[in-house]
Amino acid sequence: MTDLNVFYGDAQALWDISFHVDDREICSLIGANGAGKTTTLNTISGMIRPSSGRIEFLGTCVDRTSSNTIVDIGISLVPEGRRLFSKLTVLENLELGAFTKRARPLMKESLKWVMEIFPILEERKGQLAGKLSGGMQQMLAVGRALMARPKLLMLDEPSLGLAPLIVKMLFEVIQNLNNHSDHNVTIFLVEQNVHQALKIAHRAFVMKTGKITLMGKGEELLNDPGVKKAYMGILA
Amino acid sequence: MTNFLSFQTLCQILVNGVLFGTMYGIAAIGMSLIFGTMQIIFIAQGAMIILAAYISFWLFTLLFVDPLLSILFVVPAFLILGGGLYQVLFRKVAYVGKNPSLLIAFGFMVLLENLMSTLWTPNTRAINTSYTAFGIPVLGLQISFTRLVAFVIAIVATIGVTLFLKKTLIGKAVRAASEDLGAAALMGIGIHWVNSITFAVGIGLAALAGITTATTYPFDPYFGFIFSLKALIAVAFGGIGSVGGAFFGGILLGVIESLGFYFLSGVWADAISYVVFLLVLMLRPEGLFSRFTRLA
Amino acid sequence: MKGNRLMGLVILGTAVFAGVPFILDSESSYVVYFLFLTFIYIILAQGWNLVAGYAGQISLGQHAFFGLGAYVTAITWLRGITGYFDPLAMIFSGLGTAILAILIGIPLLSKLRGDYFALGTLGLGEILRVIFTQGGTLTGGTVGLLLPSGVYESMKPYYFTGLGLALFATAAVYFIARSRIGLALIAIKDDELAANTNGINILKYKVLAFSIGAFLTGLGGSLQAYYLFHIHPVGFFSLKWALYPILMSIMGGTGTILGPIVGAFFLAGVFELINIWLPESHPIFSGGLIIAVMLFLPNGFIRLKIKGIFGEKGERRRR
Repeated sequence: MTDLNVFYGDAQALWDISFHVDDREICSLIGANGAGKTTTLNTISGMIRPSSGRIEFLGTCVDRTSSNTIVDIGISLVPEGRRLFSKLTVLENLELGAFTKRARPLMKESLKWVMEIFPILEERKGQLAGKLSGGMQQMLAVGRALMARPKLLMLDEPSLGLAPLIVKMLFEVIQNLNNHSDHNVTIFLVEQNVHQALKIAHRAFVMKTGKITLMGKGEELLNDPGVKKAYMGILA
Repeated sequence: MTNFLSFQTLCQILVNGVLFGTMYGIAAIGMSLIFGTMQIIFIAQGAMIILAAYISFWLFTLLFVDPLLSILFVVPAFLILGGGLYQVLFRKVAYVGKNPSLLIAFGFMVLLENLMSTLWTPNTRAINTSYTAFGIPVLGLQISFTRLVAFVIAIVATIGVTLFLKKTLIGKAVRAASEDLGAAALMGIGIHWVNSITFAVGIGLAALAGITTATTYPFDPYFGFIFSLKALIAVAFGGIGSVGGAFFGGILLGVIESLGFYFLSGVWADAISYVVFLLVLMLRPEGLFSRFTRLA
Repeated sequence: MKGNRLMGLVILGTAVFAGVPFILDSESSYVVYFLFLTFIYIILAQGWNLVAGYAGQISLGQHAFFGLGAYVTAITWLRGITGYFDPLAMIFSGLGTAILAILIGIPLLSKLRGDYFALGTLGLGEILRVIFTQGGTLTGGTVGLLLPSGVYESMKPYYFTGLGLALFATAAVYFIARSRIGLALIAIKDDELAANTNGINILKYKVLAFSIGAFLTGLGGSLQAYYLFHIHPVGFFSLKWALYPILMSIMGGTGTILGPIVGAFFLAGVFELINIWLPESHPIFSGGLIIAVMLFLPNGFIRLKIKGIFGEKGERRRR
């Protein structure tokens, strides 16, 4: 995206944001609460319309496209708080994930694939999504997004509220998705768990009050003293 | 007024109530679906029902098409009409607050009622086929044939809608959109598209309710409004978002009405319906459509 | 519009209208009749304007108050309590409707939000219609009440009463809007929760606005009763008396002082034109018109000029 400006009513949330995510990368966006990370993701996925700037995906301009079309184009979002359809079953949630024209014919295979990644979803497929535990809900949310066969998968704070062991497993899964030979997925990740986010990232950005303040390789930022101090609670 | 109520009479009243209530039930399902997905109280549902009744009436009177047969043409037509109505009337204002859509629905109701009145006169109409006066004696009770047919149609329709919502992908999309519109969009579900479908189903149900009404009850152009109110009451009884609930709410209302008709003269029945409506509105503190429960 | 300019315009308008019956023959002039009709519309429209535009409550039940006002006037006259063009009758009408508004308004407004309240008012209108249809000798049943039309002498009292009441209604809205009440209403309309936490008694102000709106509408009904000499449920409780004030107010611009006036004139004119080509099709047309207005012109004519920058930045499309 280039020079993106986003407002909520009269309040400007994002100021001249520019960055890019390369194919087959994992990119992380970190920053404090309210920095504008969720806004960024929501703008990309079409839920918010930017007041100025461009977003390009594989050569197409997508900054003014509606959410449902953007999914069809190949960008899927696992939203903050998961936003599962709690009154529908696990299976139904997954099926709906493959709603787009592009993904629907592949539904059966996609289901198989997702259930391989998250076997527990196969076990619980008849259960209402609202009754799952936090970790399973997150797995379902990711699985649901994957059903759309995205080229770019965006995740908004996937580790929120999850036990550390599950977080570890989740991030392993994310890495595997990225490395996978046939179904590889580019990942764009927004996180408050800075350590994990930077560990698996190829590149990362730091956002503060609506502006990008730092950019670089994941490892570099992980060892950057400023980042350590500000976000990881490590002194000097 | 009678001095004693025989068991047989009581059963007759109850049965009549149930049979009649299924019509309120179908109307209620339509309104429940429409409100559940797009937060629109489509007060003109009753007017649409009467429109279907008129169409069925004219098909019968002019072309001698049996009303039950006319279902085959009218329902698909109304499904398409429903989708179209959404696009024309509500697409623009569906998410701009509740007032615009209510006023549009209200205006549409006035438009439709008066149009029908002007075109077809305000006189009451009823369809009288060879079998409308037919009664089937069952267990000593006299059951009107047409009402029984209406009952069966209503049950079939309810099952149909329930299956649609539970088994088809589109139906699941409707349920999903009712719960969380934004998340549904993130699945690639087009909002206006799913709304059109839901609206179409609602209007299709109105067509069924209309045709069955035409065969069982005399109607006039302004009958639709109170039908809408009763459908709203039925939804309130059954809980929003539940297809089965709306249906049984309709039946409950039918039974209450049937008892009421028996004990009070018919004229006050209308007023009582309005009062019940107001009471229901007020006794449910968050309004008619408070808790959103399972859809189907 | 600045207060002084507004007042000047209204005074000028009133003076012009006041002069009309002296220039034209009030008995045969179509203009006088048209203006009289419009004055009644203005009274009703301002009544709705106060409730919806300032208090933010959509009422679909103004026809209840209109009909009730008419019946109160008719019944008190027939019983000998009041006479022809008796101010007392009008006051009774207004008070009666205001009291009804308070009685109904308290339970409805305390419990119901927005569109449920609207539905409640709609139900109220219908209940009243049925009650008056069944009222037996008191209300004349479906035929209604006939007033002694022999006392009719001239159109002038109607015209001037109409003008006076329209002015009164407009002034009422104007002064209320500028008063503490108006301030409270704006706060409530803007953000109810915030207003509540600031100690504004929401219910009190909503009911107040509702009852004043009802009062005005009742006056309109009373005047109409004097004019038609025949009061019946179908005509006086017709939904058109619920819809027209809404239409006129929104078309002109709810929440403004001049909006309902503009809307009333415009719509009265349109209706008269339609009457020439398609008689008796007002309700059909008005139903369609409200749809069109809500879709294309929800802010009304008046605001077309005042519109600032169209569209905010970064607006959320859908949520």
